[in-house]
Amino acid sequence: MSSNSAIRVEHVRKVYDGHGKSFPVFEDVSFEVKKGEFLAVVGPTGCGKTTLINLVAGLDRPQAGNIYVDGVNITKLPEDVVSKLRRRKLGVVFQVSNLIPSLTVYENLELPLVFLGMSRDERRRRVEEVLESFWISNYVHRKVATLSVGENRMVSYARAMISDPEILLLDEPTDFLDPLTEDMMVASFKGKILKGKTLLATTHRRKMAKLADRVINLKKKLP
Amino acid sequence: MSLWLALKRFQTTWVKVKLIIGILAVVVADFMVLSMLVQGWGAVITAASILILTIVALSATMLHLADRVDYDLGVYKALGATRETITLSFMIELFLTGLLGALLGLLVGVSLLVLLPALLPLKGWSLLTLAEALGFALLFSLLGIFTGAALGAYSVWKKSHRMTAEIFAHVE
Repeated sequence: MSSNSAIRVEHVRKVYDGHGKSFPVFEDVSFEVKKGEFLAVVGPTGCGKTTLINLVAGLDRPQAGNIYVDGVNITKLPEDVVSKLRRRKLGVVFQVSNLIPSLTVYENLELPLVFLGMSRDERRRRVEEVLESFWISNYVHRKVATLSVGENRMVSYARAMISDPEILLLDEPTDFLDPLTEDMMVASFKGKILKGKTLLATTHRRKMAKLADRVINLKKKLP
Repeated sequence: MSLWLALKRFQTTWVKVKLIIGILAVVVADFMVLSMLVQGWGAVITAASILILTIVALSATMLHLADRVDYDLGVYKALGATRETITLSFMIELFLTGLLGALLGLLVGVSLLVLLPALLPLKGWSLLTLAEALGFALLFSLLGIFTGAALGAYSVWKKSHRMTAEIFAHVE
């Protein structure tokens, strides 16, 4: 594997089990994302785009195959070791925002930094930087439960970026966004915020896919 | 970081748990008052019953609280928290919640202890002193809190074995 590889997925097979049946998602997926590259994954609903993001983030395990993140095979590591790797190297924007509704925007942004063991002053500095970059300063002290879907998505995006990760995984990042917020998010992809970052994004929006360096098409596995 | 998490959750879950804490507080207080009204072997049996009931009540409450954590647990794991950090944070939160409940219980109990002789004809009963009743109630409550927090934390530890994607799949 070249040292220029940020993500490498090799012959990955994923099957979900339930009610005594197996539901194959994909049988043999392989691809590589180079450092600093933006790879978009497109495909129909149910083809396994979210599953793929979960696997690369180490939130789920494949039945077969290997996944390397920054040269480390995360499929062979204990989960807590993968967690530590994730908090240092990866930022994840989930399809469903996965913020904690009872906490404020500020506290949600602070959370990954707490896990990194940063001091309160460092955390404040990082949060203030990110608030400006993602146009979310206006509602920093509001509880997440009171935010709109678009605001929620921008906070998720900011949270994924707060620890300045090398690799960003985005699961349908512009879904549920109004055209204006979508344009703001797409603009951020062209801007300096993501400069030098490796991006793996699933999408079914053309606007988003057009920004990518490469696009791969995931086909739906028929039952 | 476990303490930070525990305190945040303790503040924000207060609305949800205050009812449970209130009920617990009254339970502890009632048992405490009952323990004052008997003596001899009866007191030993009552004390043992109170101890068991306090532990069961506190443990059940804490297990109930620990059962409602799947979403937060998934988010913490997704953001890179280890199982040790998560479990410890829940243990601290449960301990603080139990302690608050027990202190409220003691407050109600002491108030009743002061008011009871004036309200009820208790001639012929040998009451425990205020210090004895307080001592028993505090000891029993602490045993209950430690047991409850340990059981709740164990439940969280077991849940945290699951892969994060699986946790979210069950929540959503």
